[in-house]
Amino acid sequence: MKRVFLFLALAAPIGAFILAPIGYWLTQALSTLSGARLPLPLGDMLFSPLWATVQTGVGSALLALFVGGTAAIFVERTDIFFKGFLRPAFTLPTAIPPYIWAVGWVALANPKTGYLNTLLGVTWFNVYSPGGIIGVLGSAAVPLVYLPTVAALRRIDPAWEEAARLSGAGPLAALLHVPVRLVWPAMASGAASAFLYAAASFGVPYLLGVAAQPPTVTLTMRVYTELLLGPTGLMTATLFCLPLFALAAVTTLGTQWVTQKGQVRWAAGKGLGRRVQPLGSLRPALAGVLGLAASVFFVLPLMAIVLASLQRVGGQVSQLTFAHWAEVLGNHRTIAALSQSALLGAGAALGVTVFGLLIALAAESFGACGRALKLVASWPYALPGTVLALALVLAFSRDIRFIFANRVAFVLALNGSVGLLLLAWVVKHLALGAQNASEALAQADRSLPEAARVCGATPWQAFFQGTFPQVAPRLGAAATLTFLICATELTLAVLLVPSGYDVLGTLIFEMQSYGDPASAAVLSSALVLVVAAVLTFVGALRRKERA
Amino acid sequence: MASVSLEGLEKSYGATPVVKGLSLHIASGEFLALLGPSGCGKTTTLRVIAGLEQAHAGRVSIGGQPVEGDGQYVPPERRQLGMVFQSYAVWPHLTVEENVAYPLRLKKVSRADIAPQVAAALAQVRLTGLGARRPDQLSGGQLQRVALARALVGQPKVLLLDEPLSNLDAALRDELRAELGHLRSQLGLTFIYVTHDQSEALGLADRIAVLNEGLLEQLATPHDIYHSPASPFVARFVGGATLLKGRVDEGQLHADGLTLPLPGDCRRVGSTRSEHVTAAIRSEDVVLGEGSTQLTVLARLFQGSTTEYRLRWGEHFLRAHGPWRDDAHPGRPIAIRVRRLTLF
Repeated sequence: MKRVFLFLALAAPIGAFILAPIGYWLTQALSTLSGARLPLPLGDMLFSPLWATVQTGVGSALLALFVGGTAAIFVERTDIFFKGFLRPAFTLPTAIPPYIWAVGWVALANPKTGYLNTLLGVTWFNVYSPGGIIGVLGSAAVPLVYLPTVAALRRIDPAWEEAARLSGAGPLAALLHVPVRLVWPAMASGAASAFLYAAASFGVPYLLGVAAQPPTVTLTMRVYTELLLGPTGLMTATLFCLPLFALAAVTTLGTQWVTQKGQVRWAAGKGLGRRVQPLGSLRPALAGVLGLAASVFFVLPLMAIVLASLQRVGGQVSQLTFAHWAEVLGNHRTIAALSQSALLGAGAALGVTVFGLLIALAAESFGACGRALKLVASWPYALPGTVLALALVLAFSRDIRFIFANRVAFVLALNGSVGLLLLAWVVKHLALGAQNASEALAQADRSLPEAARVCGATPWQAFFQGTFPQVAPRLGAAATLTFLICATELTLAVLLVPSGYDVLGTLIFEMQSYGDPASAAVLSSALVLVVAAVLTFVGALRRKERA
Repeated sequence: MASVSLEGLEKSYGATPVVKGLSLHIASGEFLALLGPSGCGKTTTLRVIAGLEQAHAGRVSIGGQPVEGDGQYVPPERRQLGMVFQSYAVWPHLTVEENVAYPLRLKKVSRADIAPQVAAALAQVRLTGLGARRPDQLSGGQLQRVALARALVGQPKVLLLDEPLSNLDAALRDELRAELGHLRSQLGLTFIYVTHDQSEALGLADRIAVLNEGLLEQLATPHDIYHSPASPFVARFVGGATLLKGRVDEGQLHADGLTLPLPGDCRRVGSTRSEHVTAAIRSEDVVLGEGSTQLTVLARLFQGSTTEYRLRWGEHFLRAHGPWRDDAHPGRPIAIRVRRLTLF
């Protein structure tokens, strides 16, 4: 009985805040589809934004696949130079939100005042174009391919490539015939994640697509503009979310199919060495190409942001000043946005970690029901943020009264409150908390809580005495990551933040899109510095732990 | 079939030298075992011969053709060698046939010619009928045979084997060792075989190169390595001898507080005119229940065809092998006689 009550206590919020809103949105969208009068035929209305979404999504995925896959293979499997620079460079975008890269690329490749275009005297590259969106989203999605490919490559016995060399294959053929063949499911699944990431993105397409000629309007942008119209646009917005939802579902199922189909059971070898393929005479040239790519994609935009933040006049690098920094950082809106982002981010991190741990424990303790609970809780992570935000807006647009013994016991009033944003961040990132907690629990030594039980501890006491200290570092890492993601998040925030309320993402977005790029550059630089400081601190802690 | 020559080979990992000036000549058609403990440089030497590592100094030639040294380096794919890896390195995404066919595909052999050659290689290692299987459907012994077939199918000049039997259980190891011996006599190839197992080296090789800390301790036939070790290290590593440091005085060995009369079969290596010597005594040369020297039995370990005894005096130990003795109870004294020893 107690177990049933515990399970229901966990299942109820998941049902109320995940299944019910998504189900409600889906029924609303389908009923709108069948009954409402649309301004245009449905096909005409959806085709253009769907095409723009697919176009930019596929382009970004291909770019991420090419850059991330190539970099992973050369960095992990060869003796290429500059690994100390290449490794962090190709993983850097995981820590920085995509719209920051857009701010950097606007500074670099704005057709009129971009540094590269000014330097070369011609419009070398116009960032306000589908190509610009693909370039920025694709480069920001590189780690989504790079990291799983690296993880898969590290499981490959170097002797497999050496055997290919001794069979007559040259260094590049050996790489192509063995590791590339073995890690393609990981690369394909990374590319699918990159596609979803790009298709669900809002900030980058908006910052670069609105000014494009002709404007590039994706599905997420249409949802945003419809919602700006108020209640009249709400129903149309539900329709634009349908293809986004379908794209996410098809991509997720396709990824699972590819991963299962391409799975090879790797015959056991001895402990894997860290030997790499010598590139011989190709070594300097390949290092130069990869180093240049990493610099162009990840160093140049950040340098451009810092430079833009120091400019007295836009596009002129001759007179640099810290005046913008003092002005922006001293502004009360900035201070409010920073403190609100930090507070909400911390709240989301706490919610994700605690609730994620409870879900992981439920998945261990309640058998198939527990695993199903974890699956549902992880679902929003694979959903486009725009769909989730809209579902929550629809579901909580009115106050919900809980009545007990003929009295109103509790009123859930999320409409127009910052609580809805906090809820959305927790729901969206719950998978991070649950997955990290599950992995940490799986690795924890079970004899420690058992020893506590034998000494007389209750199950909860044994958990806090024996298990929790073992899983705490991993939970801390998950909380830090969630904090960093949420405190700088834009897609959910732009749709759910109450009017007159700022968080960091929406403030930078507003500054960049409404003609104050210098202030946006200051905040973006500050954000990059803070992220770098947090990551350095976490890295130092981990090194200390290992030592 | 080709000879292999190493001259003054040197290789370091970081500041740690692994191979120190190794010189060897392996004749065409010879089976040479590189024998030594972990970290002695035997696998590194094999990998330098294969071209998978580059030496920092020295020369390597195969079939009289220089492949490394004096600024020259021929990559592994152009050395025409076959290699069996310790982990077998059978590619998991290819079937058995595809694994074996790979070297032929790279040589641009026509499809029509590949099939019979692959079938012949599989028959040679007794894997006929398993060509369509994936590696995860094979046992450890079968994987080892696939690796061998792949190494042989390209008709290499030299076959390199890096501890090929070390991942197998004892029974399979014995079976495959016998098969390797048979294959070797069939093929007449030059074999270079890395192992830390003295019985593999003694049983298979024409000559054994014993390595220790990157240096060649001894290069000789298995018979000579076993019966005429060139150094205390070889005596201990290959023969399992107990080493005693002491001095020789009036026909007696005084070592670590023990006095033993020198036997008639006493071999002297190097200039042992000096009083100070290291004596190597093999366990099978210790006769129990005879002689005047008394030691205490520490342990008696029945091993089937023989029994191992651990004998003790003070803080020192001596191993002996012989038939089971009821009177050799642990804790009791027993008389011993040494019938053969080597002085270094």
